[in-house]
Amino acid sequence: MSNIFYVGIDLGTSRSCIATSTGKRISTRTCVGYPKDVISRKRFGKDYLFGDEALDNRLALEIVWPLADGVIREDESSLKATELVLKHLIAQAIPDKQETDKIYAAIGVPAQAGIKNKKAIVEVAKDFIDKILIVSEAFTVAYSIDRFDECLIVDIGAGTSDLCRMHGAMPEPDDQITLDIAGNFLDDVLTKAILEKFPDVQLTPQIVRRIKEKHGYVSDSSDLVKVTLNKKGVPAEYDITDILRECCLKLTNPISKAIQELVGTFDPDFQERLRNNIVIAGGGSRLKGLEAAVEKSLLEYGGGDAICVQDAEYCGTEGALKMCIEMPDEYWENI
Amino acid sequence: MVEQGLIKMGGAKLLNTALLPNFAILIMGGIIAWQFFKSQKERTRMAAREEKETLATLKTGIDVLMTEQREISAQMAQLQEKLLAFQNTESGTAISLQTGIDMLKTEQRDILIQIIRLQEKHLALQKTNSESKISTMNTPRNAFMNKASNPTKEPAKLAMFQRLIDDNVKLRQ
Repeated sequence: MSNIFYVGIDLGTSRSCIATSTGKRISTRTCVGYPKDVISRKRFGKDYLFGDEALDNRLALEIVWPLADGVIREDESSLKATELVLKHLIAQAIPDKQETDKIYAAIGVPAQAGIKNKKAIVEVAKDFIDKILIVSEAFTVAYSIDRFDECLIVDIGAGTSDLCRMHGAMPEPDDQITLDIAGNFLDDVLTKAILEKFPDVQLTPQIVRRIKEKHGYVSDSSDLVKVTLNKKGVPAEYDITDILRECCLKLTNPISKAIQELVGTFDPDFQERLRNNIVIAGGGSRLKGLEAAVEKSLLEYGGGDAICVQDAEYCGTEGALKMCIEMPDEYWENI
Repeated sequence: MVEQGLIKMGGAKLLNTALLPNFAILIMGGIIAWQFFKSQKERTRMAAREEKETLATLKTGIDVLMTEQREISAQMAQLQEKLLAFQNTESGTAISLQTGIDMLKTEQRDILIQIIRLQEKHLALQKTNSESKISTMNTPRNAFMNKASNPTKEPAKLAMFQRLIDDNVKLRQ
């Protein structure tokens, strides 16, 4: 008897997540590490490593990050790496899959991803996923929390920040905004700011990401943020309280402006409802004080009410899975 | 006790012998080594016995879990039959078909959760007992754990799905 496994996938620039109808949820960094030479190839015993395992051994590997701004890069190695990441996720999540079993998947993409980008995902995955549904990431968040009417979804990822206006029907292109100002942008800005203030400290993308994820904030006040960094190998503490907030605001201010635009261009009879139902998801939703900052940006418009989802990491993925499970069979037959 | 007495006597006699002190030391060393070897053997025997008892307990536990699992699978099959019978019944009954199906689905979900927990216990026992031979059912675990589709009937969702499908079909043209 063959099974149909339903799968929700969030293919993110920095992190990809999968949730399956078997109850499995797995998250991995969206990167593949290839051994640099014969010695490292022999040491690892494999042709490639994934995610955190690749990053932990990055000195001996060529790391490929196949996605940029939420979409697959156009070169062959990125297409191949994306295929490997997806296969790896599925193999981990459904290890007992038989030859006769089928996989029906919904894969989230940025709201304004082009047709070329969407086609690339279908091409990459068609050999090991039987039915592929490409769907907007912000919409998967809305589906996950069952919010289809007069609410504004804000999904802050690593490559893109996606905003989507829900009004009881499928969102139109005008209801959606994709900004390339997101987590990776914040990492770059923060790196520059720290090096400007403390020129000789040694920083890597991983160190900056850890600082951002642990301490990132936009609230008006905060405890002192002191981090230990190395300067030519010698560790010392550095106060980055002010520069951290300034950098985080550089991420959240454009997002607030995009929210204002979507509110301002909405049907005026429903604008109040929209601005009082703002839902923030994605890794960026973990910035401390983000809800209050968004609400403050809407004071001129009459105020607003924003909440962050509880499960920032898997919200979209669970929404994609829920879509797969609730979609009638006859709809799947059309793909 | 006997060995200790022997050691004392032997030691005294040999030590008193002025002519053979080295021989006396050799004999004493031999007796002490034999005593040590005997106690080691005893310890190994005790450890082996304990291990055997643990394995036997684990095997019993696994057998109980496998029996429970078979019973739950049989219950699931009965529920599926009930569900089918319900769907074939004439609509003259007072109970809403949808409510009945929902109740059965909830029961089915609870049973699936029980099976998942049993399987996890099973796996945990398997890992701690590398020597025991555990036979698993031929049906893959995922077949029991895979959540069935639950197609929506909500018009709003169906309309959204139709739109999604249309966009995806256009994508492939």
